Amino acid sequence: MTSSDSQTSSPPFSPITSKRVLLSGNQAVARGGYECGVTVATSYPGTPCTEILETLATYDSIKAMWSANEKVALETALGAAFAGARALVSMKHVGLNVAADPLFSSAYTGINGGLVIVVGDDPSANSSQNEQDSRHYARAAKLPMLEPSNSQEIKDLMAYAFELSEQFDTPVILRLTTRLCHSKTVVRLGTPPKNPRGASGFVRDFDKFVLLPRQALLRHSVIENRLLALAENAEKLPFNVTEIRDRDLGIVTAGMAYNYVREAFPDASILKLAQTFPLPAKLIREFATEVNRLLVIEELDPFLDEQIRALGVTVEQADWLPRVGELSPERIERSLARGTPQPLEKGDEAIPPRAPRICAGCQYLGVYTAIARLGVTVAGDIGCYTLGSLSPWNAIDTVVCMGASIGTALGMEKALGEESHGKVLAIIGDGTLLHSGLAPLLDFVHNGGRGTILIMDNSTTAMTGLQGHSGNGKLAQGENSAGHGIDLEKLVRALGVEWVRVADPYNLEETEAILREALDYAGPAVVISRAPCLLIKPKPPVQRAQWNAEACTGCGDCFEVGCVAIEPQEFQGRYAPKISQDLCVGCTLCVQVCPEGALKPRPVSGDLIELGMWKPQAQPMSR
Amino acid sequence: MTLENSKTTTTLIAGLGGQGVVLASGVLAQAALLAGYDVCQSEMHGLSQRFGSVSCQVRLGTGLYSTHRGHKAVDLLLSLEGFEAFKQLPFLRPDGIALANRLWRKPTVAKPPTAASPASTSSPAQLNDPRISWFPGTEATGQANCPRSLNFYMLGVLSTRMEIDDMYWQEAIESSTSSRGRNVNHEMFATGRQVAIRSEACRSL
Repeated sequence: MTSSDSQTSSPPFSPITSKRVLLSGNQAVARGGYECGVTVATSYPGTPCTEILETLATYDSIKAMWSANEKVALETALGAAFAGARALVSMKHVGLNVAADPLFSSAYTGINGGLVIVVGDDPSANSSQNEQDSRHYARAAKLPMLEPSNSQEIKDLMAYAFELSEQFDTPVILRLTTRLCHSKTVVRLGTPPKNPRGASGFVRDFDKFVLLPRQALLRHSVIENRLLALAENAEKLPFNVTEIRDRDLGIVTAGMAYNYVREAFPDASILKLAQTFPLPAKLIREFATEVNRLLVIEELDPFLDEQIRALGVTVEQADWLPRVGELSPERIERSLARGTPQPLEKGDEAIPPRAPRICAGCQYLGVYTAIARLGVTVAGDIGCYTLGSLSPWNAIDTVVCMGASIGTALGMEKALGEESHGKVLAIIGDGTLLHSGLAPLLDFVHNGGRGTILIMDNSTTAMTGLQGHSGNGKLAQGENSAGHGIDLEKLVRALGVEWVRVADPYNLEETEAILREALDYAGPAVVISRAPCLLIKPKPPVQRAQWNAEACTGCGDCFEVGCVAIEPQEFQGRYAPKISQDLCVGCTLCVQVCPEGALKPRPVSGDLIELGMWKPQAQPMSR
Repeated sequence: MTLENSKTTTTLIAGLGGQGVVLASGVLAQAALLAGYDVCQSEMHGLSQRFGSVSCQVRLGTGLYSTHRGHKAVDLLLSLEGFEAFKQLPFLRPDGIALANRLWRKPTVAKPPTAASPASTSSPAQLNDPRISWFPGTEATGQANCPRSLNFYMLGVLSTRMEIDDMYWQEAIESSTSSRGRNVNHEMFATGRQVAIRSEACRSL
């Protein structure tokens, strides 16, 4: 989903060569799954969890798959567990929303082999559309949840989670956060099983696996009893640790927050919970009697706080604890000292921020330059192209969740009536369309949508690091799938769209003309803007744009392309483009918009390229 | 000043997407691990591709829990670019040390600034922060025709402030880079180290 974690995908150090190694949380999940004999693993890419499946795909003993979306991923893993295998499914927090339907049902069916569901929350919404606390899912779906606090614990809890899963016939949720997923801490490697246990086989059990109403009701009472047994089991769980130091203050905490508490309150007594649902009531009550004052410190929502109060335990009010954004030891200390939540600790805001930019020469530059001229309302979606909502294009008006563009466009059209025709556009990427845009498109046609849907086809899942999908036909291991990628035009036509055109986004005039034609068309229209992501196989440019000072009038039209290679520089009291020679890929979009012919493509020579660096007026001296 | 007396040392490495900040922090973490320290490493790079901000924290010592620290809690700041050094200064301890590469890459803007936008072209006040030492990493790696080894040059600078034996640095560099770039990375590490030793010697005169 929204992220750019391609930089972190390959572990810099081999995890096999030494016993004490540094593993990220994501790598520890994968290693843990490997060591305890997982044979089927599924996921959909999204920060902070992308590297889990990328690492799992490097083990030959594991069938690792990028699924179409998180719902399919969970259903596939559940099927593998039905068949008696150990299965692992991982996703980001909002992915669990997509997978919520099978999640709730999986609590009812139970499993046969082992099933661990790894979910990565994103406190501070570093790369997400919300900051939800997925721990509520454990309670809502009535599933046990474990929260580790470092990579070693992740690996240890993976093994325990599978034991718990098999012992209690239930999926187990392992909840991580971005900081945990992306932090590397020391792990002692274990030995993987020599012969990973295969699937024990599926055995028909009508009352368990077929959720008809009568069966569902029967299974509900099984679940309620299971929760009681899981809570009782948690009382003696060795990963729930009571640390008695100064008895004046006791803190109940879990996950990454434990580390912050340990540093912010080095003398306090701590109850660190590894199982955060269902809770061990006796253990908590005992801890409460050991200390004078009891605080609950956790990241995001007061999930533990409310449950512990519900046990009748007196918990000190912590209104000062921030509920928005990630914590740190210092943020906790300062919030407590000032008695009110302190803001997120950021870098110096006087230094201009580096806003995310669309890559130089990306096809989106052409598309958004054209859309900015159309004066339409645009329902957007999630991917690199979400950046089209920013200046200078301001070309996207709504971004909700994966696949929401088509449905929201239809809703606008229906509400606004006839006069909205030709004024509403939905934009969706190829990856997002295949994730959750097909049903909305089918619905759009079925319910008489007459608007235009623009599919931005860059043949990959660009924002999360170029993962394969059914459109480009690449598997998680990098090989070609049996299907070799599906044909988007045929797919769209099969869903009932008759008006389908493919546009070359590097031809501005053509793209604009096709979009106008589509908007004017009386029925549903689909435009596919097609050009591969430039990050897939970057080639050295054969030409670059060159600026001619004599022809330039400083009109500023070139800045409307929004290319990161074009920087405004002062020129005779106005602004002229400065073309960054190390960024320009020679796409000619700026050349096309220049009314004066002051920008021209120039073939690349063998000369050295000078970097466009800015120096402050006073040069600091080395001391 | 070295930090051998502290129980833990927290280093923040900052720079731009593509400069090798994550790799540099991985090499530091690995060298420290080989030297027998307990180590943790944390990275934050959000939407950092193509010259966005990237920062990593590497902590080593005993009694490590949090993988990152907040404002005024970082001991050493290593920055591969000038503005990124300024941006991260709130995290540096009042008596901390900042080591910065003398390179200025202005944050890019899509449209010309209007009168209302901040005058980003004036010299920031942080230029005079006495905690920052500047090093000519971009110049040195440019002259040696290996601009991509800047991160190793700056690691060499950093190495003079860490209690980590040279052999562990060498081993960490060895295991972190492909054979193609290895020699030049070793070379730039050594160059950065020498420059930092020399500048420290000049300062103490």
